[in-house]
Parts: sequence; C-alpha cells; structure tokens
Amino acid sequence: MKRFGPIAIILIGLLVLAGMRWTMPRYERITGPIAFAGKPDAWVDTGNLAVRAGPPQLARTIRFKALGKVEERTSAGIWLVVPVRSRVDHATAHVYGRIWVTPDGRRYRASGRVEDGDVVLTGTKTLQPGLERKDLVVFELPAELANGEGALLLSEERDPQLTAQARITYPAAVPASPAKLLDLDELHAKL
Amino acid sequence: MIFSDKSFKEGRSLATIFSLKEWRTRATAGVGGIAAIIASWGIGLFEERDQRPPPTLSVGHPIPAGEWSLRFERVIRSDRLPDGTMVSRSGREAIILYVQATNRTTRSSNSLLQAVALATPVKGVDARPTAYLMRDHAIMTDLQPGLPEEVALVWTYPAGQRIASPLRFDVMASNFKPQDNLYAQPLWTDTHKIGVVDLPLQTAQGGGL
Repeated sequence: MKRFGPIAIILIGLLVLAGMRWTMPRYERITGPIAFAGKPDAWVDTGNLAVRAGPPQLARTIRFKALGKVEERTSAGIWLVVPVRSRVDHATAHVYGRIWVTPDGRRYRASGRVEDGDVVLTGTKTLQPGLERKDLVVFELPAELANGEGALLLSEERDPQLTAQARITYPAAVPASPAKLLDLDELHAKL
Repeated sequence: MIFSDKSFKEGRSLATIFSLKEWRTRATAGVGGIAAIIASWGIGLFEERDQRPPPTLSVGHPIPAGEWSLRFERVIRSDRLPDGTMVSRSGREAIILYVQATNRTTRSSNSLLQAVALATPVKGVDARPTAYLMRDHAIMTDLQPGLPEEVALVWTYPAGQRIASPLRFDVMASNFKPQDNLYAQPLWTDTHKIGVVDLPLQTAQGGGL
C-alpha cells in the first residue's frame, strides 16, 4: 500500500493539471474585448464611446458622394447598411473597429470600398466629446446572409483587446428583397 | 579519470580501470553518437526528398491555396495600370496578372498579396505586387469571406526589357492552426509554395508596346 502513495499523488497531480488545462479560457478570450451587449435602436454606453444602431438596410448597388464625385458600387453579394449614431463622453475617439458577425461566426469588416464616402463611418471620422454624429456603416456580405441576422461590433480600436466593444445583436428579420439601388446620402439625410 | 594520477595513487589495478561497467558506458555513448549521426543523415535525406519540382497548376480552374481560392486567367504587359492611369514612375511598364480570388477564411483579409509571387526573373521588378479590384478599377482593400472577385496583380519594371514568355508565377499557401503555441489563437502560418502557374504574356491592346 505504501508503494502506491507516490503513484497516486502523481496521478492526482496529472488530473489536476489536465483539468486546469481543459477549463482554462483561451488567451484570446482572456485578453479579448470587453463586451457591452445592446439592442438595435437603443443607446449602448461602453464607457467613453456610446452608440445607437438603427435597422439595417439591404441593397444590390449603393450610390454615394465621395471626394466631390458620385460613386456607384456594385457587389457580388449584397450591401448591408446600418445607420449609427455615436458620441463620446470624455475623450476624442474614432470608431476603428467595425465588424459584422454572421450567425455562423464569420467576421466581416466594414467595406474598404466605400471608405471615401462623405456619410460613411470610417477611421477618418473623428468623434469629439459633446458632438453627436450620425453616419452609416457599410458591409458587403454574400447574398445568402440577406435576412439581416447577425451582430454589429463597434469599438474604438480596430482589433480591441481589453478595450470596450459594443455588441448589438440583430434578430433574423423577414427577408425583405434588397433595394436595387440605395442612395446613402438620401438615407443619411432622413436619419 | 581513467588515466589520471589519482587512480594510480589509489593503487587500483589495470583490471579495475578497464572494468566491464566502464566499457559498457563507453559503448552506450558510442551507440548514441552513431544513432545521432544516422538520424541527422536521415533528416538530410528526407529534406532532399522533399525538394521535388513543384507541380504546374492549371489555368482557368479554381485552385485552393490555403486562405484563398485562385483562378488564374491571363497576364498582360501594359504601360497603363488597371485604374486607367499611366504607370506613374516614368520609364516603367507593368506586368498585370488577372485572377479571380475568393477568401476562404472567416475574416476579411488582403493577404492575397502574399499568395502569388512572380517567379520569372525580371530586372528591377517590384518585390511585391499591387492589387486592383476590377469591379471598382481601384486599389484593392480587404476581400470579404465567400465573395469571389476579379483582381489584377501589378508588378512594375523598367521598360524596354525582353520578358520571357510564358511567365511563371509561384502560388503560395499557408496552413491553418486552430491554436497557436503562444496565445492559443487561430493562425494562418507556415507559408509554402504549392505549385507554379505558367501563363503566356500578352500585350495590352491600345497600350503598352
């Protein structure tokens, strides 16, 4: 019996180590963004940045003013346009992190193809404390994701780690047929 | 130790010095050394075996290459860039490769620039290509997962050179690792050549030479 003591200690040690290894959350999650969950059409306050995202619009083609020219952008899939009101409480900031998460977990960054648009929320649009902004966040998705289900992630950092991130979850909607042509400036003016 | 003064001073006999135990230790060390030599020779042989010529990949069909699915179409030389402007640096022309690229990952990415390399030597050519999205005739930004796009990859080079045709391109791919060793994050790593593509060089109409 005495001989089995050390063996038992080693076995228990291995079990404890294995248990810690299996239950340890991934480093990616431990140092990941600090999530602030929210709903569409409601303000989500993440500390400094506060956002309020409206209902998404779908379109096959979008038209917008960019650098004094009118641009039209087609897509192999569809455009998903989300109106977003944003403000900061105490420090100047940018909304560098703009991601749409699909129900199957794919992460689509806001399209770089509309980066110059006057009414598109991009890294060049600065948020100053006390001055609320309204902009559009534009994503390009495959057509099969056109029921508008997903989550909008907005953050002051492009890849937030230990930084606040607003997560606005959109339920699946009745698949409305996407608009043939959506004028972003008109949509922005109506907000 | 064996032939040290100490052994002799202690009055050990020759038989003790060359005892069976010591010979066994020496033999073990010898066997270990020989095993190491064989192992390193074997690894060298294995690496030699690995350097077989890369396969020639087909043109006009999608090729899975790690993060990307690539369909090579054609390659032209031109003095005009895909956005319609002249090659801005004077005295240069461009090799323009047209591919259809699909992002096979779950994230928006522009790592396409690392997936194709010009293998035919051209004097003074750009080390890395510039990508243009043909849908917009503008510089390419991220490509979105699951959306195939026509892309033009552009290498500029000093004009007036004879360029061998067909042009050869290396196709590179990375391996997916669900958890990397340091942070346990998903990672695309170990970029390696999966094959080559040969395309005849055409001259652009209304431009170029």
